[in-house]
Amino acid sequence: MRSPPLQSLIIALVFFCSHVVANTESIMFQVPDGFSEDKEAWRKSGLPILSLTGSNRAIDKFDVPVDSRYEVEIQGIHAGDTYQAKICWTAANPINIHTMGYMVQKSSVSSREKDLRLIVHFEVSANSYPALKYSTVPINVSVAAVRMGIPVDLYATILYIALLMVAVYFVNSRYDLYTRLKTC
Amino acid sequence: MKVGQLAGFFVVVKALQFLIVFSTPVIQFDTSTRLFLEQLAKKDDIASWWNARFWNKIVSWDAVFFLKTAIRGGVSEFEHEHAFSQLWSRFIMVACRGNLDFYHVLKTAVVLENCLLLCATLLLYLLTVKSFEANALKSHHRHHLAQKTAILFISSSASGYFLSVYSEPLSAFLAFLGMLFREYAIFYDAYGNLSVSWIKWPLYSLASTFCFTLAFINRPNCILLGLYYVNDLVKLLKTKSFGKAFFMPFISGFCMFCFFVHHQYYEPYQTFCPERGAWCLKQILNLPLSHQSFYAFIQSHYWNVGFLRYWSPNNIPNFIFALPTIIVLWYSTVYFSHQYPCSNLKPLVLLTRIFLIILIFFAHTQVINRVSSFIPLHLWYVADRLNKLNVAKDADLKGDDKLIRFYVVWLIFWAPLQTALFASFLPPA
Repeated sequence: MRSPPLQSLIIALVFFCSHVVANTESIMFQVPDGFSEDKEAWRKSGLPILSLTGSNRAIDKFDVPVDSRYEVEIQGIHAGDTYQAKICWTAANPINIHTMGYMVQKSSVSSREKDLRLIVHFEVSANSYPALKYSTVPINVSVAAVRMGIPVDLYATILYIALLMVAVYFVNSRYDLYTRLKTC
Repeated sequence: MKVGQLAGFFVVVKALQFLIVFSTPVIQFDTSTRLFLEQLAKKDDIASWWNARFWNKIVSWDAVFFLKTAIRGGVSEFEHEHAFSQLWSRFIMVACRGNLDFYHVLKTAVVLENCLLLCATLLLYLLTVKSFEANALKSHHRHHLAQKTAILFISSSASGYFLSVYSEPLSAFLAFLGMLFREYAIFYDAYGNLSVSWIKWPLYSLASTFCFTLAFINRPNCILLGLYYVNDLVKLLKTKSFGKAFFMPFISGFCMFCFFVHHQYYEPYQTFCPERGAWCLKQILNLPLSHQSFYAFIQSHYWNVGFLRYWSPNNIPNFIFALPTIIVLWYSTVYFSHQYPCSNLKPLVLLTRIFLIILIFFAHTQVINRVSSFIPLHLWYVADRLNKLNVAKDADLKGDDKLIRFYVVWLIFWAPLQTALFASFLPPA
């Protein structure tokens, strides 16, 4: 079935944003259908945690050691849902992010066989001269549910841009800016 | 001259753009601005009503580097930060008069940026009037052309970035001023030969060289302005004006070249070598110079800039973003070479062609929307076609005029879109 043009445009925009080489890296992941979390065991997890409990998006800042692999456990996610995980760092801290990915593991602190946990991982390396003085850098890790192919944290922006373009279209139709420029 | 009208138009366009920034959702796609602010600003200030809804949104993309360097006293912390004009950062720092509180620096920089852009607009108006003086245009046509050019510059393909803290308006200002000095210094005789009177030597060799050199120190791509001197040198040598050729374009071009070598080779070598290794190891004949310019090294090492390195499928959207500007720039060189040939625009035609080759094959191509701001040729092309179309009263658009209509309509949509994308910290950068 052909996608409507607007939806195709939005998906193209999201695809483009997801591949930007700037201060952001992102991945999309789908939670396995049989995924189940042991809520009692959450507190015992040794990893840094980002929780989406009661929300479809979450963001937190982590002090990530440079030149090492870092893992964040994502909690409060639902089986079968798709999410976008995004990491952002400031250009003031010259680092590179490598091998961003995710994995689903059996919970190490739960006794139940079906309890799983989802971990987003990435590697941080310094990329500067002179070398970065700090052993850790602050990094924002955010996770947002993906609905209709679009992360929910982009909804407001996409809607705003769409409204702005409609407004420009109406202003241009009403005042014919091209002709005004031609005759000024 | 309708300075008041132009200033009024500038204020209205900027006010609308600031309104777009203000209305953009507070949550940005790239959340790194918050991390940057936490490192340099006070926590209470970051969350204040105006900062959260307006000022924080314009700390996006490259603005971070200029602000960081300005707050550090005009000195870059890391090697790659030298790719971002220290001159512009120092200018901001000096304008802050000792108060380096983050939001004071940001607000000062934004005010400076917009003042420079307005001054560049007015200079472009004067430059247009002067440049087309010798091209058989009637006075009122020239003023219409200048007015349209200035309007197009205000709402140009880079106008979204120029709300914030970018170095291009300073380069545009200096480039237009240098071009204007040169235009006042030169004239063409009845046979179309270039000539410069000795009395205008300071205007040509001091004033224009000073402006072009500063423009280059601010934005390395402005080194192409040196092509004016190469063109003039060849023209004067052809007419056997050896004295003028030596004391004017040769001296000017040589000064620019010396500054280029000092700024891009000698000074970085003294600062970083031999401890740096890598770039330092590629010496020329054991001289304290590397065979690669510092800017080229940084671009290549940190941003993977190089011949055809950007030509990959994932960058197709970036090429699409750049396409309207590339097409109009290219057609402007054709237009002013064949359809409307002007002797005094020849160096600018050459400059634009070389600039296009560099941007298409060697750079992150989408930046052409921003870094082409020191070149007025495409604006003159669009403005001139619009002028002629208006005089002809011809409703049927053909060839160039269809392209011009498309470009203008694209700008009408692109300028607000780019402003919203910038405030949302979304690409293209």
